[in-house]
Amino acid sequence: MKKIKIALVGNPNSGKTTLFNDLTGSNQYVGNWPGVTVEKKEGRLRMTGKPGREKWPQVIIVDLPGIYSLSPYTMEEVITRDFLVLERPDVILNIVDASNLERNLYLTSQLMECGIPMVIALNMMDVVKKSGDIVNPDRLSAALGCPVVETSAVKGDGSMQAALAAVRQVKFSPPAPLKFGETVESTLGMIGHVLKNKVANEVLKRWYSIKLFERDEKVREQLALSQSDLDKIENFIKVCEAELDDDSESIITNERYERVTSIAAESLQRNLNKLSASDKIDRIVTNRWLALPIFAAVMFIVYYISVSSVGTIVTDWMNETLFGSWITGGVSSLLESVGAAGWLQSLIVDGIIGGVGAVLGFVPQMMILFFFLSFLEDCGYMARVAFIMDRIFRKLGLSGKSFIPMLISSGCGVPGIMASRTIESEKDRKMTIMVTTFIPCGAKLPIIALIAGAMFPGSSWWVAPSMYFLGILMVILSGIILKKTPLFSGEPSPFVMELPQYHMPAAKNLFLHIWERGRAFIVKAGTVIFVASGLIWFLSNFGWNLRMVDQDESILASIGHFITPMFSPLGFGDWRAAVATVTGLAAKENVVSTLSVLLGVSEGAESTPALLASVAGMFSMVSAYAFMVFNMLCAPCVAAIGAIHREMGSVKWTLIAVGYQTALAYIISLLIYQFGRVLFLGHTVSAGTIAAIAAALILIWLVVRPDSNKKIKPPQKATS
Amino acid sequence: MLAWIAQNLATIIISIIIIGLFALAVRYIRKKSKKGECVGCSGGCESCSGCHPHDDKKLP
Repeated sequence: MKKIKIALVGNPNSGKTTLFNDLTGSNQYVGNWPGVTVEKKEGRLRMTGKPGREKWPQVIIVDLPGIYSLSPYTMEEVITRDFLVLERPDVILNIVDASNLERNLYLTSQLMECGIPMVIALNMMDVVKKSGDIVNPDRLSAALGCPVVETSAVKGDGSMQAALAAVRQVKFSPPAPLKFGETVESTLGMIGHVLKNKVANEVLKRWYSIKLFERDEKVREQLALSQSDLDKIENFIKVCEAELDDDSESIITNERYERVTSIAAESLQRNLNKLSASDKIDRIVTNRWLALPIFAAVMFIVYYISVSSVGTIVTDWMNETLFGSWITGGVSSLLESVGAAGWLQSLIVDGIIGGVGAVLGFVPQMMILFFFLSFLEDCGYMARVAFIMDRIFRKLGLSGKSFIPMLISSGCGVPGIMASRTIESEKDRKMTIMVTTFIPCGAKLPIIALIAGAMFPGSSWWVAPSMYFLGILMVILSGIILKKTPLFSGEPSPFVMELPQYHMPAAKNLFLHIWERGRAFIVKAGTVIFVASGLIWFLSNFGWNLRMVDQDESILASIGHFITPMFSPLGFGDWRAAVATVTGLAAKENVVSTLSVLLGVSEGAESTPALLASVAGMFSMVSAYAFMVFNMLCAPCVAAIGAIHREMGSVKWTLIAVGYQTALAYIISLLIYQFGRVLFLGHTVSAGTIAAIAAALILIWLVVRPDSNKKIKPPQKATS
Repeated sequence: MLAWIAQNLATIIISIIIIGLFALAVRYIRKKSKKGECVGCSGGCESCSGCHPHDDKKLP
């Protein structure tokens, strides 16, 4: 049997990746906002109904980034169009959000022009039924000339039927393209005639003619037409524009919408009387005055429960009982009973178990945090947050579009940086990449939990939420400062976002998210953290002569003493804290594991939460907070720096990004420590305080100085 | 020599196991890096293509 390639095409956030996961058994990241998929992904169709969901190798499913039309503006839209036009899949499975039929059919009308057999998956039918609307799939199928299958990808209903319909459809002809008005059709015919030697395929010729009519630059370049041909085409277009009194792109858009509206009207019966539950919730949640306090309260509760209350109970048990007593105690006794050498006992207990265990101990807190974030994301609330933030961001010259990468970054900075691809403006995109890792990711959670538990016992409720809000504040501050520089000046990108209907997240998706993140965290602890802990133990126990020495005479101590002066003005003048900060560049969890190894917390850890006690002895409350802030805001881990480099496309821009992040982290930590020690610890004003005052004045000037480039457009409304 | 080995047998065996585990972890990290993937993401990035080579990022 010949290989069949099915392309999943649809509007952003119409459920393509959910369907892809369902059909292929993959676990691709699914987000409840547009722009989550920025690259195409392939998987083999897995047949249900057979034992073990056997793979059916002949059918390949390709998940493509969501698009609104085949006239691309952003990188991911180009990927989808190129795949359809140049790679030519065997069949298109067009995912249509039935709850937004008319707008989704606009893309369908363009897909019909590609000359590829097509099946429509009428997705989110559960939402349509709930709202009281009625969609008639038979009428829709008759109007479009291709099969229509009802699906609910979140629940897995109809997914396989849609895939099988697509497989069957390969043998049939593609749907006939929608006809435009007489004037447009005759112009397209004339353009097609000019293309007769360039494009042999009649269906594709029509597609190219339409794109040339719309003056699509990329298609013009691709066809490499002679100047005389281009002139002829331009003349045809101008005649048509004069006759219809509009520009060519608008003519095509209007004609498409006319036809799509009539098809939608024939197939859809709306329930006009009922205000949906989503509309009722949105009246409160996106209310001009209530939206921000609600968001702040929600995030406060999420971080409070995850890090400070429920999370702490489980983590304390992991740290004190599981790792502190059972594993450390058991392994120590075992090693002693078999007569293992002292240095080996130290390597295993202090180095490996101490380092890896310190990080694994925070897994429960991280899982609880991811549960809440996934819930908020899947139910549709986080999409509203981007809309809410757009109002504030726009006033500062930023776009709400920049907030979506930041939402993703609360899981991990790498996909957050990747998600910036959806931003059309190059300047806004670069700025978003630079600031998106300010939002604390999962890897930074152990640092927050460690400092909160060690330094603020009994009153740690505010520590974790404060880190999240500080991250947002730094994004806003950076936006104001950077937008005034020539490198980033300009109008913010337009932000039009479709708000998904609220729904109860599917338990399967929720737990899949948590499992994927938890598993990745544990794998990392068993590899990167394991190797790093071993190295840290070696460097902190051996001298330059490669003999075991006291920690203060070790290789690491000498390196640490060299870099410590840089961090002294921030309050962490202990070389162990300075080294921990540097090792955090490999992976942020390393900050915790390094401190654990260097503080040798496994010794006598049976009775006390040793790591917390040892850390508490290293810092004052103010310096601990400054240490935490620096590690939150400074250069991210190597994986994220690599992603910055790929997305920026240059070493220069990568250095600018990392340099800016580290400089800002340094200044903010300096302010916190220097002002904090005078205000809260009663210390006297020092040279560091004077430096902090100077830094604060510069920062204030950068924020308030007039912006000569400021031209803000009125905010664009999101469609719901 | 044999007496020394016998005396330190436990240390030798455990050291070999630790070195083996260390080598396996380094091999895993290198293998992932060579494939263009990373083990540096803790946010469920196994399913994200952020660290993978972008073969399909060919603009027309």
